[in-house]
Amino acid sequence: MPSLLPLTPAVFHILLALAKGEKHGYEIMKQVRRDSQDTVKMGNGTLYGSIKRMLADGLIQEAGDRAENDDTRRKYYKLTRLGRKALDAEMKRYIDTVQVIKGYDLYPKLLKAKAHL
Amino acid sequence: MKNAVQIYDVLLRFYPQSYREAFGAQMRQTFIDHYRDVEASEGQVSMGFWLSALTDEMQNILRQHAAIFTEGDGFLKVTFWKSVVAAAFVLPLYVIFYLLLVRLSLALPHPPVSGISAVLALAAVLLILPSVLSLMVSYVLASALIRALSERRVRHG
Repeated sequence: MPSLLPLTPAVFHILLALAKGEKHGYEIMKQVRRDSQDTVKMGNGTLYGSIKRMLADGLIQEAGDRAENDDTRRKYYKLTRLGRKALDAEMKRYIDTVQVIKGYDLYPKLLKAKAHL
Repeated sequence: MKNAVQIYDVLLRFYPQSYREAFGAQMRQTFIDHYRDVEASEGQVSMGFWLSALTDEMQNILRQHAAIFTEGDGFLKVTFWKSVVAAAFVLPLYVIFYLLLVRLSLALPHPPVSGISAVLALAAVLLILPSVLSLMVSYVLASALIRALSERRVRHG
């Protein structure tokens, strides 16, 4: 597991998207956009390239095919226990880093003002 | 929409077969969902959409082809022992390809060339082509040899 950390931004965002429940490819793509406030626009290639690697690493697994309203079947993915652990470890790393930044008084003024709202 | 999917299908053909079999259908469906969404929300699909889609796909296509050499238990995955065996094959193969190419170039009719083109042609025949060919063939031979040996070891316990 330590060898999987730090996660790449794409892998981190996919894990974060799947933490909210099983999703198919396009739902993951949209969730990543929402979670990153439109700053991460993941393309199809990056998404499925990452999914392939994450399946091989055991971070996610297939959750079966399901038909949507338009009768098209889509493959769903979900987090594995290892994926959840990796996400928790990466979030802790992010939080620790933010604490360090705060300690150095490097926290951007804009974010400081936002935090006080 | 139909044309867009046809273009995307062409892009998918550039992926390695194993990757296409595993993810091609899903990628196609995700592309359709995305395209439909953009079309519905923006009225038309911009050049920017295509540009970012093409760039992203091209990067992943290259990554997936490179992965054949680095991931899983693929036939061509780079390992220490394959590199050692391949290194032993390189020199003899280089000599064989060099002689073959020299022979072939002498047999072909020679167009009148001079200056830089002559130097480039000579470099291609004597250095680049035999080097590339010998590296590729030696690696494939080493991979085949190591696979045969490991299969034999498995068969004989």
